[in-house]
Amino acid sequence: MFRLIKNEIKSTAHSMTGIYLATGIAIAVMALTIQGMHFHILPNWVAALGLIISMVAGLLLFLLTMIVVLVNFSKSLYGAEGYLSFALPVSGGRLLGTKTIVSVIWMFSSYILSLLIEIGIMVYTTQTLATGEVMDLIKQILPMFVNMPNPSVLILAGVFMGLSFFLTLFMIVADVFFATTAANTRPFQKNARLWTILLSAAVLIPTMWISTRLTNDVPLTFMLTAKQVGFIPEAMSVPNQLSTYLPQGPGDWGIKFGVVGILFELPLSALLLYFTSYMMNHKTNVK
Amino acid sequence: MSNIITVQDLHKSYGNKEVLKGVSFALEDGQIIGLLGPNGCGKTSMLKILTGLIHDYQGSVLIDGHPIGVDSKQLVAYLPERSYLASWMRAKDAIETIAALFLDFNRAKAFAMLKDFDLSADQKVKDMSKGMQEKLLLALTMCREARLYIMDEPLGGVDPAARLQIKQTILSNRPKGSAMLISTHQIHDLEDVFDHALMIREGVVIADEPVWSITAGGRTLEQFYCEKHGIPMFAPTQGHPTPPPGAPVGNLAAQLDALRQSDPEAYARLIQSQQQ
Repeated sequence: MFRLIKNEIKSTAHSMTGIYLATGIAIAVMALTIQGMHFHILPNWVAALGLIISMVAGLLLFLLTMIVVLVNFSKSLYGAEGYLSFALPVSGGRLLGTKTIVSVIWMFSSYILSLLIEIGIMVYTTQTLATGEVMDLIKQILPMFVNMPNPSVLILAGVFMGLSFFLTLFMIVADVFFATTAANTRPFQKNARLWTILLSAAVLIPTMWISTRLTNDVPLTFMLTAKQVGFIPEAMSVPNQLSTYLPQGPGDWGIKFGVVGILFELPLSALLLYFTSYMMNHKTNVK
Repeated sequence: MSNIITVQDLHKSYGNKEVLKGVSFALEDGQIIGLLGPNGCGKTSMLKILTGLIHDYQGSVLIDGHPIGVDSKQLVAYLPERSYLASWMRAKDAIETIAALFLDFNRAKAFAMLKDFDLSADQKVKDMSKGMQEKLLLALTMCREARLYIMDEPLGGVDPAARLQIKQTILSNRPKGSAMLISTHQIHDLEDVFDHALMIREGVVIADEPVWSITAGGRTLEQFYCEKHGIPMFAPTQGHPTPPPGAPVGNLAAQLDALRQSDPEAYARLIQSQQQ
């Protein structure tokens, strides 16, 4: 399995390097244009353009990663490269597991990198262009952070948000892998690309709808406050009533996370991967 | 001797079209088997089933007693009709990839074979001609220590000189005791290496015989194929260079060699016309 993962990372890294390189160039252009404006070499509109390009590049990074990962799955299994993939002495489940792990790793890395790029752009432009008003504004904002909960709760909230995002990514990957594989079985193979899109939407849209309804309407959420964490019998759609469930002091901060949708998505993703593996072993044809 | 491949009542359809109609055969281990038949007769579908690329079929298929799966794939080295290498790869990347994925792959032998083929390890797959890609894929296949080699048209789309080189590579690198199943239209070029012929027509096995029993009466395997498929044998066309008297008919390697020695210009014209 380790050899498969290593090889999968190596083969996908080729496409990913191009995306990361393009993003890096966009950021370098942004930094140069802002420096150019700072030293009155370039007009303001050039710097603004550089800023927009790098922000868009940050957002595109995640989107392009998703496209590359999903196209790579289709190409490496059901395109010409499938002649090698399916001839390997490994089970369909192991092949699928490898591709899922590597896909989620790339998507998560790009998501984190996108976030860091956007934060980096904000910090960089603020530092480079900070005028007296900007610095005053920052000084006014800083005291507001005094009422924030202690760092461990903030970290926990970050971990929880990251985890829920990770699980949603996992579900999207499982959904598209399922649709791509189903589209390469006999009934759909003639128009495999079209069926991939249709089947993917046919599974993803109802899943997201059910997940959202469960998250909003089922009275079970995960609550984080400065002092405590725990589950409370309250739906996401109900306005925060922290004091009802968790004791807190004045000025305390709290946040609710819906968990029922995630609890629904996780087994569904596993089920989709199980069916995908079954189809890979019994139903698919490599053209 | 045990059977390396056992196929019973194999059916495969694409929509309403049935390409394999209850095919059954058993092939002995250690032999070179020619899988012969016209385009669309189901040869490639059968090879894809044997290698685990097609899963939706009916019937029983065993490789050395194993149903198609992890165990059977460990025994099989497959040379498909089309390249499975990513276009960004260089020849050395392809070798490293196969070396990483197959424990029975001999990396050093593969690099040596590249040299024999006059291929650069740094050349990109997308910049290679069909013949060069064919040689690279052959190196990747033949550098495995497999029990069964399955090859789909290994001589397809390459010039006569390359055909000869490919044929020699296949024979000289075949591990002792291993079996080969070779699908080909170039019967003339390979008939002297086949131990057994399996002919398919319209999804049905029409001949499953040792080559010695076919050629015992003096006819060639190609003649037998033409008889079975109702194809008339053509006489050489005027204007084409013909081998000098004495060159053994039916042996492309010997014919080419003799032609090169007796009439180098005609040999060059033949190679050029094949390349065009």
